[in-house]
Amino acid sequence: MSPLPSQDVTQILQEWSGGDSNAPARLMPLVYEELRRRAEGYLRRERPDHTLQATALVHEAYLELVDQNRATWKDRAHFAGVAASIMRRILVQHARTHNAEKRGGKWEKLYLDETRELCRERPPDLVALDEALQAFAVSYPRESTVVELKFFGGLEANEIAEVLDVSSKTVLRDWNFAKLWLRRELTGQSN
Amino acid sequence: MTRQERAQRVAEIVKSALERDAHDWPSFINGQCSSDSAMRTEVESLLSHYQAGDDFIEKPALHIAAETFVREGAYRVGQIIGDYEIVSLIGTGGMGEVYLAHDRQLHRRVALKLIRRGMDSADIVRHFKREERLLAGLNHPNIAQLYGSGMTADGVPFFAMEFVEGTPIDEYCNEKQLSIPIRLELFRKVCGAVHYAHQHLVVHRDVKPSNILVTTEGEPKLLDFGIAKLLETDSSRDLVRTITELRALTPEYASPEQIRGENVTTATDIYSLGVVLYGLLTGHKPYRLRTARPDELSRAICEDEPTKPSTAVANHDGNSKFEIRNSKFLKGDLDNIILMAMRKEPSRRYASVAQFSEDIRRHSEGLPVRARKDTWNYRAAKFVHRHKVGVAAAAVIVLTLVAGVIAASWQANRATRQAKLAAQARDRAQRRFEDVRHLSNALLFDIAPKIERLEGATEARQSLLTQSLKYLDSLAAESGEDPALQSELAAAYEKIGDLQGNPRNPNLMVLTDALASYQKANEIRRALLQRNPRDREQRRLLANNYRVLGDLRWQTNEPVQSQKDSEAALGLYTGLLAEQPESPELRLGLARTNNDIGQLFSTNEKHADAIPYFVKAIGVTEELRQQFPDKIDILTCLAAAHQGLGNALSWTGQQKEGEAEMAKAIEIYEPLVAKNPNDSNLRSELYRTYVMTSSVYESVNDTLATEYAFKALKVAETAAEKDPVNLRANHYLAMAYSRVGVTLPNIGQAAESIPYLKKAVSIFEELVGKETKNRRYKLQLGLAFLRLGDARRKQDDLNGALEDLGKAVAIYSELVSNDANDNASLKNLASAHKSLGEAHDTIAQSSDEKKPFHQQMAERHFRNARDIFLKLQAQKTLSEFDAKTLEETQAAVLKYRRQ
Repeated sequence: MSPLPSQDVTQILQEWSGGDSNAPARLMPLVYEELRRRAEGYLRRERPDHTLQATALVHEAYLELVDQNRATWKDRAHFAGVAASIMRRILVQHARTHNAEKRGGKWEKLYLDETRELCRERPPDLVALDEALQAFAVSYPRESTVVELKFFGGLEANEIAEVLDVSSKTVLRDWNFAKLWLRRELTGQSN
Repeated sequence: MTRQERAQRVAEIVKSALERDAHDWPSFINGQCSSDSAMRTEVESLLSHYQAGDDFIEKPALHIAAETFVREGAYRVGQIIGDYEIVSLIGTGGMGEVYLAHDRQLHRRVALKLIRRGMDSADIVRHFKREERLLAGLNHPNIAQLYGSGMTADGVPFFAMEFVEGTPIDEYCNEKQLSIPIRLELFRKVCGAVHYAHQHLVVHRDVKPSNILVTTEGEPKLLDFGIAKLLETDSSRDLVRTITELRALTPEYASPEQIRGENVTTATDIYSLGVVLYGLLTGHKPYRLRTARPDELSRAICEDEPTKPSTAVANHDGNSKFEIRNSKFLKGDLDNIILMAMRKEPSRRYASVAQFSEDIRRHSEGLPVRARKDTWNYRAAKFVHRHKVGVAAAAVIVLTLVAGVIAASWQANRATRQAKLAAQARDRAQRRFEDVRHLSNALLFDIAPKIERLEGATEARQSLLTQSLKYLDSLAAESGEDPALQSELAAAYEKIGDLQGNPRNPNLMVLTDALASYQKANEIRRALLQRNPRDREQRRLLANNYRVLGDLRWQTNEPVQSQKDSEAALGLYTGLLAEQPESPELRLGLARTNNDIGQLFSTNEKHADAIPYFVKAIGVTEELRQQFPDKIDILTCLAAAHQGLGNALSWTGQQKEGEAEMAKAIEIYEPLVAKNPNDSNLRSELYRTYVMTSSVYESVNDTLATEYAFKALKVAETAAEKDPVNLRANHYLAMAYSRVGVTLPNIGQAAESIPYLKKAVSIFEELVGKETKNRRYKLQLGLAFLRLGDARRKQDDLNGALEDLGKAVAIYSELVSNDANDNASLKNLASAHKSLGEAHDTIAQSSDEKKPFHQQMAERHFRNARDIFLKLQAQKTLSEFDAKTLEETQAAVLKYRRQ
C-alpha cells in the first residue's frame, strides 16, 4: 500500500522511458510532495536523530516508488540506470529551487533562536556537483555513470558492476578517480 | 594522441597510482609520464586532491536531499501570509518554525515565526502569544524588534520580527580578535539591552552567546524571548512552569536557581551574563568538569565555585584558539566583577544589570569597583547566623507541640543583654534541637509504621506528614557536616517520601512530593559516599533510594530518567552482591529493580525487552522463597514478576504462556489477601493483577476479560469505601471503571459501558486537578476520554464522541510535547486522531450541509494518525495489533486522497 498515486508514477516513468523528456518534470512534484510531507510528519516531534530518520523515510518512499514499478522495466540494469537518473534530476532540481530560496547562500550565518543546530554543517552542493558531473562525462562517460549510479542511485559497487557489465574492481577504480576529478572541479569553482 | 586518448591515459595513470602507496607516487609518475610535462602536471594536480578516508560524496545524494527536505517547513516559498511573502525557511524548533520573509508593504526582510503544524495545542499557542506580547513591549536598538503579528488563513498565529543577520558574540569576538576593552564595551551594550528588558518587567531567562548576535555593523542584538518571564503577573507562574517544561534550558549558562527549579528573577539574567562575560574574557568555561554528563554540570553550577577567570587564563593549555592570554588584565577587578555576577545566592549578586555594567565601566576608567572578593569571613559569619535562626525555629515548633513542658527558652535572641542568660538560653536551644530530632524520629519510625498499613488512616497520615516535614526542614537547616546526622536526615526524607508516594506502601500518592523527598535524600547520600566511597551501608541505602526513585518516576511517567535511576540501582546492587552474595535484602532489592525495569519497558510498549528482566526477577525471588517461604515482601515481588512476565508474553504473541504466568501471580496473591484482610498494599497488588489478567484475555476470551475486570472493580470499590480520601484507592477505582468500560462492548454490551467510562473520566479529572504534574493521571484521563469517545461513536452519539476525542487529543498532545520519548502517549495520540477521523468520516457520510468540513477534518486526523504510527513503526515500537491499526489508517488516508 503506497501513499503515492502509483498509476500516475508508473505512467510517467513509462512515458519517460519512451522518450518524453518532459516526464521527469511532471514526476518531480509528486515525489517531492510525498518526501516533503512525510519528512514534516516525521519531524513534528523533534529528536536528536531526526535527520537520520528523515533520511530513512526518504529512502523508504523512494523504494516504494521504484519497487512497485520494477516489473514494467526491461531488465535490472535498465531499471537501475533509469532510477538513478530520475533521482539525479529530482534531487538536483530540488537543490536548485532550494538554493534559489536561500538567495545568496549566507545560510550558515543566519542564526535565529532555535535554528542554530540545523545550520552547522554545509553539505556538498548538488547543483554544482551535477554541473561538474556533466563536464566530467564529456571525457569520462563510464566513470560519470558510475558516479550517477552510486551517488544518485544509491547502488553498491557490486550492483554497479552488474549494471555496467564490468568488474567490481573497475567500478572502484572509476569511483576513486571520479572523486578526485570532481573534488578538483568543485574546489576550483569555490575559489 | 587525441584529446580523448590523453584523457584516458591520465585516468589510467591516476587510477593505478591510487592503488599504490602515496609514498610511491613520485617515482610512479616519473616512470609513467617522463617526457610529457603537461600530462605530469594534470596527474599531479588530480592526485593533489587525494585525501585519505575522504567521505566526499560517499553518502548518497538522498542523504543531502533529506537534509534540505528537513529544512523545508510547512509553508512554501512564495506563499503569502498576511503582508509577508515567504522567502525561505531559516530554522525549525520543537514547536515553531522561523522563516525569512519579505514584507510586501514596507519592503524589508523580516523573520516570520509560526507554530508548527500539529503543534497548536492550547499551551503552545499561549506560550507563543506570550512571547509576542513580551516582544511588543520592548523597543531597544539591541533587542530584535517585533514588527507585527497575525493569523494565517488556517488559524495558526504568527508574528514578524526584525531579521537579524549576525554572528554569536563569542565567535564574533574571536573572529575579529577583539581586545579586552572592546569586548567589554560590546558586552556593556548587551547589558544595556538586558537592563532595558528588566525595566519592562521582562526576565530573559536564556541569555547565552547564541542568543546574542553581532551584526556586520558591530551592533549586538538580543534574541529569543521564547522562555522569558513577565514579572508583573501572578498568572504567569503556571505558564512559566509550562514553558520550562516545554523547552529545556541551555545548562551551561543556566543559574543555580534555574537548575534547582526555584524562583527566577532579574538576578538570573545577571548570572547568565556573568557566564557570558567569563567566556568572552577567558575563552573557557567557568567550571572544571571531570565528565561531560549534564548532571555533573548541574551539580557544579549549584555547588562548585567557578575557577577564577585569571586562573582559567593562566592555566591555559596553549591549544585553544583563544587569543587573550594575559591573566594580569583579569586579576583583581575583573575576577571580582565576574564572580560577583556569578554568585550562587541571587541576593548576593549585583542588584541590577545596570550596576554590573557600571562596575565594568568603572574598571575600564580605572575607578574603584563595587565588587569585592567573596571572603571566608563572610561565609563563616553567614553560616553562624543561619545556625542561630535554625535553633530558634526548631525550638518554636517543639513549644507549640509540647506546650507547658518547656518554658520560653527560645527567647535566646532577646536575652543578649546578659551574657550568662544568653549562654543558658543557647544551651537550652541546643537541647531543644535534640528534642526535635528525637521527636521527628519517633513520629517517622515508630508511629508511622503502625498506622501506615491501616485502612482509613489517610487523614492521620496527612497530619503526621505535615508535622514531620516541618521538623525535618528545621533539622536540615541544622544538620551541618555530621555524617551520622546527615544519614539520619536522608532516612527521614525517604520515610516522608514513602508516606507521600512510595508505590509499595499505601499512602497519599503525592508522587511529585515523594519524588522531591527521595531526591533530597539521594543528594545527601551521594555526598556522604563521596566523602567515604567504601561505606557499604551507605551504598546499600543509595541503591534502595535509586530503586524507589526509578519506580516513582515510572509512576510519574518519566521513562528516560526512570530507567537511569533503576540502572543506577542495578549497578550498585550488583557491586554489593559481588561482596555479599548471600544477603537476602540485596537479592530482593536486585529482583525488585529488575521488576521495575521490566515494568518500565512494558509501559513503553517494549515488551520483548521487558521479558529478560522479569525472568531474572523470578529466578532470584524463587531462590529466596525456598529459604523464606512466608515472607510477604518476597512473595509479592515474585507475584509481581509473574504478573509482569505474563503481560509481556501476551503482548509478544505468547498468549498461553502469558495466561499461565498471570494464573501464578493470582495464585500467590489471593491467599495472601485472605490471610491479611487489612493490608491495603496487598490488595492493590491483587487488584493490579486482575486488571492485567483482564487485559491479557482481551480479544482472546472476552468473557473472561470482563469477569476479571469486574473482580478488579470489586477489589477497588472495597478499598475506596474503606478509605475514601486515599488518592491511590481512587486512582485504582477509576482504572477499574475504565477497564470494565473497555471489556463490556466486546461482549456485546456497548451501551452499558458508557456509565462506567463516565465515572472513570470524572475520577481522573479530579485526580489531575489534585496533582497537575502527574503525567500518569493525565495519560489515563486521556485514555478514559478516548474510550468514552469510542463508545459514544459506536452508539452513534457522534457529537459527544467528537468532544471526548478532542479532549483526548489535547491531553496527549500536551504530554507528547513535554516528553518526546513518551511512546505510550504518542500511540494514544495516534489512536485518538484515528477515532476522530472515523467520527468525522461518519458524520460526513450523513450530513450534507457541513460535509466538506467533516471530510477535511477526517482527512487531517487520519493523516496525523498515520504519521505518528509510521514514526512508531520506524522505531520498531509498534505492536502487531497497532500495525493493523496503521494499515487501516493508511487505507483511510488513501480513500480520502482518491476522493
